[in-house]
Amino acid sequence: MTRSAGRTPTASTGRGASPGAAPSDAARVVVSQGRVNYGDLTVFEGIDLTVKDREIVSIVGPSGCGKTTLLRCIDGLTRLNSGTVTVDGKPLNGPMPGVSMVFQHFGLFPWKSVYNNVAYGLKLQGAPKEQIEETVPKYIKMVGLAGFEKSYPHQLSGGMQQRAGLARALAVEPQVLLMDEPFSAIDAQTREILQFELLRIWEQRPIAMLFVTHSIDEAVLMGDRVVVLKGRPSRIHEVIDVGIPHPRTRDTLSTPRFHDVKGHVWDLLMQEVIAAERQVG
Amino acid sequence: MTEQPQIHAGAGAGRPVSAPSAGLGSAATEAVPLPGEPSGPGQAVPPGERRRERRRPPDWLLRTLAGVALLALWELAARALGSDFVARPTAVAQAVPEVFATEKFWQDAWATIWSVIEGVVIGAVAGTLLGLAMGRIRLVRWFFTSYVSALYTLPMVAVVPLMTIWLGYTSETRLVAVALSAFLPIVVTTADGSRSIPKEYLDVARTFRAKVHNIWFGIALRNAIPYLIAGLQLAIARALVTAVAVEFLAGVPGLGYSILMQTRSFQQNEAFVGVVLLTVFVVGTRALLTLARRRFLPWYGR
Ligand SMILES: Nc1ncnc2c1ncn2[C@@H]1O[C@H](COP(=O)(O)OP(=O)(O)OP(=O)(O)O)[C@@H](O)[C@H]1O
Ligand SMILES: [Mg+2]
Repeated sequence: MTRSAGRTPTASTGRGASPGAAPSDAARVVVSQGRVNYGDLTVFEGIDLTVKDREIVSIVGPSGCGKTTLLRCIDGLTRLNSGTVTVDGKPLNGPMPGVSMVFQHFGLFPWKSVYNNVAYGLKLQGAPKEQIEETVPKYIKMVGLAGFEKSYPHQLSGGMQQRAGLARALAVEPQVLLMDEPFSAIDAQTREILQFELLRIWEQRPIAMLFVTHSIDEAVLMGDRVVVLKGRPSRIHEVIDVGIPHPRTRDTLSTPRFHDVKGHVWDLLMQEVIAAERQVG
Repeated sequence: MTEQPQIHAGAGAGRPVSAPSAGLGSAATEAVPLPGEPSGPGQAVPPGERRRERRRPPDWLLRTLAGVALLALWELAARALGSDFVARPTAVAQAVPEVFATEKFWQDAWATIWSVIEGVVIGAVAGTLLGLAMGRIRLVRWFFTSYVSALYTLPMVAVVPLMTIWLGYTSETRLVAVALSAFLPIVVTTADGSRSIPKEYLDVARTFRAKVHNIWFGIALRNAIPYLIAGLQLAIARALVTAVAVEFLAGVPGLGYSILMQTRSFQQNEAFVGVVLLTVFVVGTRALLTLARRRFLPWYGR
């Protein structure tokens, strides 16, 4: 397996992070030699992945290659069959405080209002009332849902529901945010709006973020690095340094650098698709 | 039996539908009601239904007219027979003021209805707890499933004579029988409702490190509420059948017993007033439950 750094040299490139903040290299999440198998099916193996503080890592790969499984392992919902995951240096033993997840289908409780959905994590932590009353409106406002506190999920559009899902994940003020195709169930226009809003939110409080997506554009736009999973069982095929400084805007999409990286990721993924077609054919 | 609450067909809202009866195989005698899946924006309306709504007069009017027509038919048939032993709707209506004026009628009605309320409350609380446990703990489910479904299919009337041996010809017998017959449908529906939690809810809860009691009472129970409401509708109807049956079989005073007595002494119009009151009670509680569901669970189908 090639583990070349793509077209750019070392890590830490391009991450100007938020203006004024010095990039920090503290590793938030470290996966080493991760392997998961379900019976005879080995989903992935030999996964070595580090996500540093203030870093967004995108994960792309063909359907079924284990992106969701990998994220769940880092969230503590699934166990690795071998290898280790550490968060802030502590080996994972079930879900950890400081790690939050945004779900593909939002995972909002239909019987709770937006406010109570967003407050869910804090309440489970036993946060004091004053803290909840201060934090929840702040994040509802941050994701642009002010005025919808009392609404129920079924009264909101998909985009708004995911805004609530994001606010819920952020309200516990995590150090690590995991996102599993967060915008895949949302229409294209709203999706674009949410991508940039997420980047704005991240710039206000840059944390370690893992972002799984099927969209190459989205992976390159969001990610400081793009991890390409490939093969059966899948492994990390390549890690590409995107090397585009933050803040990223719509203009980023038309830079030559964006175009190059996107083309490179596309090539990597298509090799696999073409190979698969040949096998079938 | 008339105890099937409306079934709210779930139009695919993007979530797998799990039939609440699957777990217990209890659908042998009665269809266990399926609470509606959340009605998403994509819920399909059958084309016929839309058309009907536009052209025909309102539903309630049609239903009332149909009812009146049936009563008229009955009246005509009874008159044609010319027998005094066949009750007529007009005669029953005439008997109403007189019956309503007697204190005993209300005492009896209250005795029966109160035992149903008490029994359903006891059965619902116990049934919800066991149902939750069966839904969440595999061992409990494994142990109870066959017993619950066996008891569920057993007509409670069959054990009433035995109960009178243990508890006597008393209102306690009625309460126990009523509570038991309310308990079983609640267990079945709650078990299914607390078992069929969308997986993502549990992932969310675990991500935020929810404790077991948070999952049981914060998620499983909440998820089971529409199932519980469907179970309650079944439970109330079953409980009433049992209450009346115990009164018949054990001679416990109540509306059922007085209906029996009145029938035996050919006061059939008076007896019918009692029957109508019991029907009104069941229909009324059912309407209340439907209202509660619409009010408190607006994301479920209507
Ligand atoms: N609980 C499970 N039991 C058995 N197999 C599973 C389980 N969960 C996942 N798998 C298998 O593991 C593989 C990886 O699944 P995963 O959902 O992680 O893929 P993915 O990369 O997220 O796919 P997609 O892009 O379609 O979301 C699949 O082949 C899937 O069938
Ligand atoms: Mg996935």
